[in-house]
Amino acid sequence: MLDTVVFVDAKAVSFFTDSMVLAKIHAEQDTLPARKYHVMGYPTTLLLDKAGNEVDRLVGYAPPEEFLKTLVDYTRGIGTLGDLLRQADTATDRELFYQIGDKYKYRGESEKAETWFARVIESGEPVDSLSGEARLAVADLYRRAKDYPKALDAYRKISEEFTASYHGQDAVIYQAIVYRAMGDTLQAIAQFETYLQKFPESSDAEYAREQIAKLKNSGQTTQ
Amino acid sequence: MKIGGYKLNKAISAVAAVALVWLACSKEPADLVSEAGHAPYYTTLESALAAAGTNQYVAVDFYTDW
Repeated sequence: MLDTVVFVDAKAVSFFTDSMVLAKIHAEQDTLPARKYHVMGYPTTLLLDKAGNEVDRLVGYAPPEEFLKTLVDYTRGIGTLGDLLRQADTATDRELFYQIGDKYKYRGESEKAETWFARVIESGEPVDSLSGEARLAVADLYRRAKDYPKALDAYRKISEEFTASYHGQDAVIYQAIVYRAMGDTLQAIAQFETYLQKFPESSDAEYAREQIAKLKNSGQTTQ
Repeated sequence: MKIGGYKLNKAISAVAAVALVWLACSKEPADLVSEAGHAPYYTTLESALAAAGTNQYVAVDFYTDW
């Protein structure tokens, strides 16, 4: 989307011709830079200074105007991690705490991320929407760190406590994804089937069906 | 004019020097991609950082095929 929508936008072409240097790195072919900067998902756009120091990053897609505005804001110190941390010195804004946790998460600084997500949870209601987001984010940290038992436990608790919201729904399918990552095909299939039984009309139902078919065809029968 | 002598060598050297300077000035880095209708970009981080002016920033898009 960045390549087909953002980088072909007339303002973006002008911006990257006159104001800012653009690099496009294929992370599977040129793997060192992605490792160096702890890039965890794609697309990720890093803003670096001339010395290669990270100013901040955008994770995922944004429309051209928003994409360029975010980059320009970052060059002015607006919306960067440092900016948010300064704001948090005097604020008790849970959204802000969540954004800081998210920035640490995508920089690969898991412990700091977890600390900020914990502040989101502690300063709100146990099962409100932002607590659900923060708890999913913490579970995601465990999953990305391949700490599968902790991830499963976290997702299981979310699925039990957030039965009336999409957080609980997501937690069910993520348990299947964790089992799959563990190589536990039978449990993964069972969990995807549980998801389909509970949420047959969800937007991820088709994905769950595809995964069940793939796992059944894979011939893996570990555990 | 001396064929094979000092003056000819000097002229050839001068032409070669001018040609080298022209080549250096006109040749784009091998890893700079400039296509009509697309933002110009470098395909290596090193070249992008080297191309950035003092106080200029570099945006690095990390992508995969999937």
